[in-house]
Amino acid sequence: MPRPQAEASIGGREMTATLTIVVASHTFLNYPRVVSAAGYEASWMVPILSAVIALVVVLALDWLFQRYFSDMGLAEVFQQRFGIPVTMVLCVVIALYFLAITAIILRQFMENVVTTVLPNTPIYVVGGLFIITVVYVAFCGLEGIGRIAFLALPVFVVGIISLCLFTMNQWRPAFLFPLWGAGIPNLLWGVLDNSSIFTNVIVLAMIRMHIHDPKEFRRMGVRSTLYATVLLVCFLLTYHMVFSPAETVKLTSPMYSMARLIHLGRFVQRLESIFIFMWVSAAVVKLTITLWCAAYALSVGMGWPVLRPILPALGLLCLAGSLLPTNLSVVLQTMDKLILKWTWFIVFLLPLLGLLIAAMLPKRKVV
Amino acid sequence: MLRFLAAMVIPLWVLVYTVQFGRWMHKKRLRVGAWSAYTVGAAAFVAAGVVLWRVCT
Repeated sequence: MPRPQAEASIGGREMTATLTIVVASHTFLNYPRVVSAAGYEASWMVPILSAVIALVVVLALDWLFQRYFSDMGLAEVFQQRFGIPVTMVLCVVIALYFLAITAIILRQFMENVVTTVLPNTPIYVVGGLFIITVVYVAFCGLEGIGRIAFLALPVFVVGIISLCLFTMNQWRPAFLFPLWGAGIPNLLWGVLDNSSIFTNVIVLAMIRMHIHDPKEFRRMGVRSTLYATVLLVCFLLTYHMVFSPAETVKLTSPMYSMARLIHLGRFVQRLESIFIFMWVSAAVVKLTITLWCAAYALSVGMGWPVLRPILPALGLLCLAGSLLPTNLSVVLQTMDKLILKWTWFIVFLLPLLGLLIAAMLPKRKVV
Repeated sequence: MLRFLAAMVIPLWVLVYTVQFGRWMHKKRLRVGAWSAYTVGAAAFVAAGVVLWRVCT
């Protein structure tokens, strides 16, 4: 069977940077608001506990890959052990998941840009220019995405840390107490509901065979999870020291709200326009990798020898899909109630169960 | 209506490009691949059409 992007190969540092941005870019979305509703003052603990789940899955996947499928990725394991019809179904499920998160996150970024910095620009113009950039970067291939992520990561990290530090004069550490926030049971439910932001697990499993050295799977998975968790926790701690719990559950654009509050004297205030650059760079990397993964899953499932020619159609589908809901509240509800809450099945359970069952099945001849 | 037709040029170009990809796979006897590419192209074209109809009319 033909394999798309057979020669694509990505280095460990580039892959780690890509995966870190894929997870940590949730700081700009409605993740801080959703976890605040689950844990109130203790919401900074949610990403730590979710990261523990992600790390356990990464280690289990690494063991299964090393033991049974040392030179394969998830899609290739499905192909070799389950046969073409089952692979097709599983790859379509994975592709639909990636397309759905691309469309929803695209709409959130469009709404954020339109409501904050470009209020007179039509939303479809912002979305159109954004998706053209995303499709172009995805067209450059996995190496291109990795290199862009590697260049964007320092900007992203400096941006988040400076955003946290510049609001230091507004910190009220008392807002972090009581320590357990909404209580331990609510906190644990919040962890279970929101652990699916660690998309790096399934992305890494999908493109494992395109890493320079597939044995680095564990190192990349662990490092990207830890780096992203540190960034998420730093942001959430600051967010909760700046805004009271009653406000944190209402703000749809936490990063922008914090950036607007920066006031370090007459000449250092209202720095949100600087953070927009970081925000858009991270969004491009995040959406590019999810679009590329959707195309990759579809091409493995459907037996396409190449994936580049389908990228414009998938980009257009994501843009149109993101504009189909008439208002932002429908998008946010879909994200909160469906994507964040239930896609742990695809992010964690599908690769884990898939590899476990595949390990028990005999090898099939792939046509 | 004219605005809608003008705006549909880009989705139409994407559809033609995707159909060409499907035809190329058809020639290589990859029937499942070809039909799935046609489906993705048609879905993107229809979804873009619905959105643009709402925006332009």
